[in-house]
Amino acid sequence: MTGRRAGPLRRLLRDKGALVGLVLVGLVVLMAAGANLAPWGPKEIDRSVYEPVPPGGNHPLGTDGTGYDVFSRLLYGARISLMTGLASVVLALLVGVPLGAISGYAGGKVDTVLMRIVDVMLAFPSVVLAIAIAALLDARTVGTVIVAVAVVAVPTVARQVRASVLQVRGLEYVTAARAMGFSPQRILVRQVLPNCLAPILVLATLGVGHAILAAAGLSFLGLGPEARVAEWGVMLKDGYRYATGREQWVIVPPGVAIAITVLGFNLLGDGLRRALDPRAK
Amino acid sequence: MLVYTIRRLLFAVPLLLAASFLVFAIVTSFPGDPCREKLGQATTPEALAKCRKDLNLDGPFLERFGTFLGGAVKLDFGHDLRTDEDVGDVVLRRLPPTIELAVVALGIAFLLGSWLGTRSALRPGTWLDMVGQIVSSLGVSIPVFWLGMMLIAVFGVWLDWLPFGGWSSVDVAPGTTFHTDFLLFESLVRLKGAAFLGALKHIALPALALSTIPLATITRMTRSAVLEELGRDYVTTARAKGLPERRVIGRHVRRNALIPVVTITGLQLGTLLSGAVLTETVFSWPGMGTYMVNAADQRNYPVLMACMLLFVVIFVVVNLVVDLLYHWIDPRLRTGLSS
Amino acid sequence: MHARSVDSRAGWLGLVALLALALPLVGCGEDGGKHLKVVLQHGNNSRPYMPWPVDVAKQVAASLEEIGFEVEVRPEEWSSYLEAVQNGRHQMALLGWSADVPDADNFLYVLLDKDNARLGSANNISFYTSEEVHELLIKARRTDDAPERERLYAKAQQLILRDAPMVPLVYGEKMIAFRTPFGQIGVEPVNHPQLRSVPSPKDGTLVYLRGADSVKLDPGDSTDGESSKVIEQVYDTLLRFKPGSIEVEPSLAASWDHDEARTLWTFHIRDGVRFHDGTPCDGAAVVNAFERQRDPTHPHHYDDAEFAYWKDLFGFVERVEPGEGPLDVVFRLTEPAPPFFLAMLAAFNTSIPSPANLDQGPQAARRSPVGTGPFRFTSWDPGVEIRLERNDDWWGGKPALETVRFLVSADPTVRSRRLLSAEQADLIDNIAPQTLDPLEAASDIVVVREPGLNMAYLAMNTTKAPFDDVRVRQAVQLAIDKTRIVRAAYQGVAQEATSPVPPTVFGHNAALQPVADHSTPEGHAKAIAAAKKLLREAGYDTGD
Repeated sequence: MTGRRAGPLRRLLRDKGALVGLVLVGLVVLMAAGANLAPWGPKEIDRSVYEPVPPGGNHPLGTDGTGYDVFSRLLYGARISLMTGLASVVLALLVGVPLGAISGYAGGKVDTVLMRIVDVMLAFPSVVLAIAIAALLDARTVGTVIVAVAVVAVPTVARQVRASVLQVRGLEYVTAARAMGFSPQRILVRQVLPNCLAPILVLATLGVGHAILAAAGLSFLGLGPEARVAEWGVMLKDGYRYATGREQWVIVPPGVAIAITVLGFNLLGDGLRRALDPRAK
Repeated sequence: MLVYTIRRLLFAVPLLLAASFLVFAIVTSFPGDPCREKLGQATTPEALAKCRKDLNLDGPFLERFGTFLGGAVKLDFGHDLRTDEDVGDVVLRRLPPTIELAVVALGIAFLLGSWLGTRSALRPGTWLDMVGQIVSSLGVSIPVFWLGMMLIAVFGVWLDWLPFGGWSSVDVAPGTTFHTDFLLFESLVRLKGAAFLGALKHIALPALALSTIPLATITRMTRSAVLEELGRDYVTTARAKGLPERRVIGRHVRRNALIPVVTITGLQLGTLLSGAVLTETVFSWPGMGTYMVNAADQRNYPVLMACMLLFVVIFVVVNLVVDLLYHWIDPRLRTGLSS
Repeated sequence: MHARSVDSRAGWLGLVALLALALPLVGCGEDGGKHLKVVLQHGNNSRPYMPWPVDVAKQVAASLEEIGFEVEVRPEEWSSYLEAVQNGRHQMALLGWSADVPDADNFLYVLLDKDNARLGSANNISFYTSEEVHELLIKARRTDDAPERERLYAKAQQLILRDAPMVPLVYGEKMIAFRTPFGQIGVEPVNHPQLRSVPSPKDGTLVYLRGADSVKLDPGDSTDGESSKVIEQVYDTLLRFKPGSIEVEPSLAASWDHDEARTLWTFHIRDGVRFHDGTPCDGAAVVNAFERQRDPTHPHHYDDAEFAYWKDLFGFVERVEPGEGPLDVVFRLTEPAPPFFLAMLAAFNTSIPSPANLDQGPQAARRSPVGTGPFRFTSWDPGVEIRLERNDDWWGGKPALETVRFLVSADPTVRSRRLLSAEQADLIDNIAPQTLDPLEAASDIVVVREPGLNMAYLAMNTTKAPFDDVRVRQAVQLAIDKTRIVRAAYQGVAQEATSPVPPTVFGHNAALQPVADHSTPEGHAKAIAAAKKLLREAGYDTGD
């Protein structure tokens, strides 16, 4: 038994999907890390340009109509997207994990009340709730987007963690710990939660992808950071007007970047699930 | 079954109540005073007081919530802060385009997804299976608004095959008078060929873009459901009895596998509505999504409340119906496996 | 127990690895702070003078960064933005002004006089309080001598350029395009295209395809362009602008006179004019049209109507009353009429509606208008179409067009495309610059463009550091690259502004030269150097 369970990492590396995901995520991390080497600043304008210029010359991916270098903004955008994705997932975990854990472990009335709240939040289509929260925060910043995306993710996290906790709490060693007279807090933190880490990790990885997608959507709707910020959703919002014009290629790079990043995290997450839980389909 | 139905219905009521409370709480805690914004600086205290009353801004929170709820039940959400239109009227006008878009997208996703999923399951490892897997991975990774823009760029502008904006009777079928705002459904029911074709052309690109979201899940679910059915005893028995393979698949496997797929299709509505908000924005679709986004941008309180509430109601009701249908179709579940 | 620890170790490792992705973000903050840190605010709505405020903000911010500013751009929802700037809670703000009347007073007095710099209701959001300018503007208000007024305004514009409380950026352009059979439809400086004189080539119908539906067609209570577009065809005003001009000529009022003090004005209404509902348009109907706006107790002064135009501009009218004859109307004023009083009576907000129709309540007034104009209202399908038909008995002669249909298509590219293919579109406006090329190339389409009566500007709050220092303001004035703004933020569909008063308006100082020439690299470098020098003199670090 130990032999088969000992190698989640090896299983991950043998998984084709996970490998592709790992490569894609690695690529995005490289982009983010290399942003300092970008030929232009994120808000720097090429004064010789006043309408989108096709790729070539000193603009590897061309410019937009403002005179910004698309390639450089794409690199800086990787930073913002990674940060948005990770920060909102961390935020959602910080709130959702305790909620789910308490709900699952305590059971009874606490569980009922908490899960009803979760039900109510899940009754909203996610974008609808996110829009309302972003409008409530009323500041066009990356922070607004992070909070909005995190809030929307909390119920999903809580529900998932609760399910895992329910599964674990029936296991022998938990019963044993209880019999030994440990306090519920101690059991929850020392015995139960560590055993839920695997599903939480899967959830978190998939969550980064979802968060990046949702954040880009909010930016596109105009509820994200202001237009000078090099964020992919913002770039697409700005590029929207070129979709029907002659300079259609302006909209391609940010969209591909988002798709690659989200795909990467999704594949990695699915791979992790398979690696950590061999019984999963 | 009856007991289950009643129980589900009883559960939906407090859920909707709580959700409308959340809607009201969020929107009324927006910063700023809508009356000051509406009336401007040079206003009288009387006008301000009247506006506050009209907008239901005075009195204790719970009382105001009661007023809001009482109005909402009658579809009375007050007046648009910018245009003074009756929000209830506008919502009724804006709902049909969203419904048509969602239904067509779901239809495309279901047909394509169940076909692709079945094919992949029957011949695992072939190129078609690969296509299926790629579709189900990409479908949840590509931003739907970007896909919409690309569709516009390629099919709308480059190839110039399809229109990509405009969904009014004039855009769709000049010269035709419509009695409802369901341009597609109405022209179909009234058998107006040209109008139906026009509507179909106009809805094609947005529906295609939106369909990718449920398409991914439906393909994936169909594949695993069909695989599961194929492993069941009756398939082996049927095959052993010498039934033609087409009949085994068509009559039995596909039919049984479709039950969970139909359910999943129904439950995709939440993500579908989310996607619809983005898709509508890309295609300037005159539906609930664009109405809500504009309202959020302008902090147009009555409109935002109405839109959010309506989205929730649609979401909850459809989920409820799907759930009930599922239980009705699949007797195994009537005993209450999921409570 | 054993299996558990392996599993949780993998989980921890994974979570840590996931968080490690954030490592490349460390140290991505921007480098060292600069002394000039400013917030640039702008409204997020598209306005006639600024269709893409975001693009303007980007270019302005870039210009400011070139001379060492660190800029935070803050887009805001329109009404809260207006509230913020009118209360002086801004350092820099992007705004614009569309004329109510085509007179320099409407720009200079409204936007730059100390009378309008009151916190809370300021239109002068630079809070510029020059006594010198104030005296000139008041003098120009009190006289009717046109050359003298021009001289006073020219001087005021010079002083404003020196003190630089704002940077006038551009004058927006009005554009329409129509199919050639409709002859020569002109862009009117003040109004929308006048359809009364448009020839009727085919079936007598003209389809006016526009971006949005009208809001309400009660002339006194409408403020938006989509409503006035229709209102101008259905109603008449006492006076009207001559085609293509800002000069007024008689309309419903055949003639008028006033007393020595210019406080008592009598208008003589044309005889025999009838509303579309058959009731006569006499002195009483005209009095009703004005008194309902002025008097809050008037039965036609609907509770929820705002009558914004009247409130903003007609404060000097004591009351409007019947004159001696049944066709005479008297305006009693509290002070001598301003020189642009007559132009105010040609604005669509002063249209004369049928009292019988107003009697039926706000819904009738807003949704089924009855006037005396060249076209009568027939139907309104909300969001889709407003249909007008020719008024055969119009006092100015029967119009050629039989039917006018106002259709809506929100997407500007769709509008252009439909005009090109003559698909339910004969005339379009609000043309997106990127769709201009094919329209101009088409042989069966005419494109007309004229500078509008508007001006977009960058306001600097002169009561707040660093803009309380005139040198900093002058530096900004030098550094702002209007050439780039016109090309990159207006796609060429605008003119660089040299003064707060547009050239289409009475009193524009044509002698003013641009403060800097950014169109050549040398000119740009020179302007930037001069701006930096001013900033250094003011004691600021310019980042080099």
